Amino acid sequence: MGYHFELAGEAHAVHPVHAPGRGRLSIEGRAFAAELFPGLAEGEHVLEIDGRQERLFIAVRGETHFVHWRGRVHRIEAINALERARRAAEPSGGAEEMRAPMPGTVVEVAVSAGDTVEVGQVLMTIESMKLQTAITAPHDATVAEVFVSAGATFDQGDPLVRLGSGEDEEEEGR
Amino acid sequence: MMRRIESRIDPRSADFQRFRAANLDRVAEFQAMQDAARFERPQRDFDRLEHHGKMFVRDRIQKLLDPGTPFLELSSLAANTEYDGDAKSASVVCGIGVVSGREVIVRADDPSIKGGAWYPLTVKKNVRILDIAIENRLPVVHVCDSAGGFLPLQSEIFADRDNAGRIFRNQSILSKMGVPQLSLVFGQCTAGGAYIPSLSDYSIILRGNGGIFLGGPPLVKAATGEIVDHDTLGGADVHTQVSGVADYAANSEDEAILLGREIVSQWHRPEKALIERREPEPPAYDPEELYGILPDDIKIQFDMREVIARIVDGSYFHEYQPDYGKTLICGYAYIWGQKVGILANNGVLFNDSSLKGAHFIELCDKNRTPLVFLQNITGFMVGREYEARGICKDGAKFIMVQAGASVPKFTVMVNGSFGAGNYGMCGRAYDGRFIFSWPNHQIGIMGAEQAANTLADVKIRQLERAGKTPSEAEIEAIRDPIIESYARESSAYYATSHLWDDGLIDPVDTRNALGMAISASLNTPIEEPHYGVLRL
Repeated sequence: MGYHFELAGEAHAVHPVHAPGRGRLSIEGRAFAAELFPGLAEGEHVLEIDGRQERLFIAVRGETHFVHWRGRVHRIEAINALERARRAAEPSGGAEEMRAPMPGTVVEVAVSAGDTVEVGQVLMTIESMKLQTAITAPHDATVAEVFVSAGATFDQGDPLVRLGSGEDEEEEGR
Repeated sequence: MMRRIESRIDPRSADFQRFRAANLDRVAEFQAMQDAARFERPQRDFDRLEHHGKMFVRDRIQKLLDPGTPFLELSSLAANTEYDGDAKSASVVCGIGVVSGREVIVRADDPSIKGGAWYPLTVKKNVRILDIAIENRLPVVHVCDSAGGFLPLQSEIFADRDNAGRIFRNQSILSKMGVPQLSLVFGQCTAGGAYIPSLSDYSIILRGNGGIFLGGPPLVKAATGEIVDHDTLGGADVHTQVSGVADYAANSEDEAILLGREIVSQWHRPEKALIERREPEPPAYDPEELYGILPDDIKIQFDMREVIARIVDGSYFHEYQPDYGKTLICGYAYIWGQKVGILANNGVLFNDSSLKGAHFIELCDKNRTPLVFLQNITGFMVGREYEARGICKDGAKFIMVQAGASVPKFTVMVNGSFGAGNYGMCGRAYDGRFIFSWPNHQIGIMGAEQAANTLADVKIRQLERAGKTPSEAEIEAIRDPIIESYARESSAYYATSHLWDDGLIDPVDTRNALGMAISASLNTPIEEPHYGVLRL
């Protein structure tokens, strides 16, 4: 199992090679002797690859790496190979109904039919068992229908919001 | 190899900024209280120490520990809500640190507070720290300087199972287990206190200030008429040359501490229990972001994966059954290179989440993986449908498997801990090795509002049966005091004051506290797994 590094929209497969001695990488199937040494300044590193030495500055947040090399900054996304396979197999952006995970009441509705929403955007806030939970969009979508309003009560499994994909909207328009 | 948790937090969002400001305030309040408990004393108390040529307890501990090594102080705010706040840290400093390269417990009386007298919560803290020593096979260094039991409260410290006698019982059990103890006698050890050095494998007594006797000079005079001075009765030379009660005499606290370090360096280092390990690495996300993740209102739900991502090595997490029983997150991660199974609340416990928790604990127990519980729980789900599905027996499975697990367990009180959720998630009664709490956390049999409503309902029905209809004002008069007392007694400060946990920590220190606690726990071999009978 290894990583794909996405650089300027292109993915490159990189695997560590388990062999005696240290620091061997397989990049796109080709083996390299590679080792990264910390430098003196914050973020400074020296990359030794096949005998060549390169000075780099690296900043990391989560799986995003910003690498400053030879006067330019490169943004590299590290994508775990399993995660990449999962994403590739996932159906994207279909229509779906968001249903209540448990019985409760609606505190606030944040969207109305026709709104476009981004992944992670709060659609509504519900309260159950003393806890407020945000219902968020699982992917980018358009809100097709909102079934409840603030103050309404619902049972587990009741529909709260129906999301449509952009295509549905077009079909409806015809 | 594991996948990284992908954080969905936006540090620029208004919520994040508001939460962060609120949590920085909470942590500042906690730090100020802790600093006061550690270092602030009336000047006359410092003067008295100086007059007797004594170091402050914190300085004694600092000289005892290996320089540059961490000290995990436990229950720094014990007794903060009791005895008018007089007994800072319950008048005793306890923690886990490194002395001469050995992981040990340090238990040091604080003579700057009422001569180091033991209040009821001092006794509770002493018993607890020695329970920790037994459970985790940690050697103990006692720094003895206590006037003895606080006599006005003797009924709360003497006769019960977990009162002062338990301290000496625990010392005896430690010796039986082959876990060494050293006492540095820097003040008087009178009456029961005399047994602490006497029950230690090694003891050093200071010439001058040090004294060990069952009854001090005034008590001897009252009992038998004998007039004897402190040194002749129980000083360093008597005990190291004549009685054999102590092993070494020293002329200064400095000399005694250095000699103590030499003694500890003779102790054998235990072999750690075998668990899965890897090279440690810091989390990929900044732990400081925890301040912006934890909401400013206990009612607002948040994704506990965001917390896990800021505690575990590399933010790597292998989530188990990600699509089943989603209100309980289960999965594997590493903390300071030590593999753990994490159970974290992401909502109320349902039938499926309870079964998932029980199943995951059995897996971890079989594959010898210590368990970490991250509590944010309002309880098990209530209602006709859930009762019909057997929420009681599914909750019972979770509790029974958790209680019976042989691997070490650790609990962090992250936000809320209410009702039987506290039990399922390894609350105090379940013998987890350590419980650490965040300063915002709240704990109770139910929330303040729910308790007030329940009790007000009962009262209203009583009045109605008597033919009266209570007015709004009368109902308020029933509700308000309940809400007030519940709010006070559910606060993290009240909980830690009463030793319901092993101390409050700043959220950003969670990873370090757990790392040290897990390491300490592995001194004890892990028993084979075995279970009670589950209601299936």
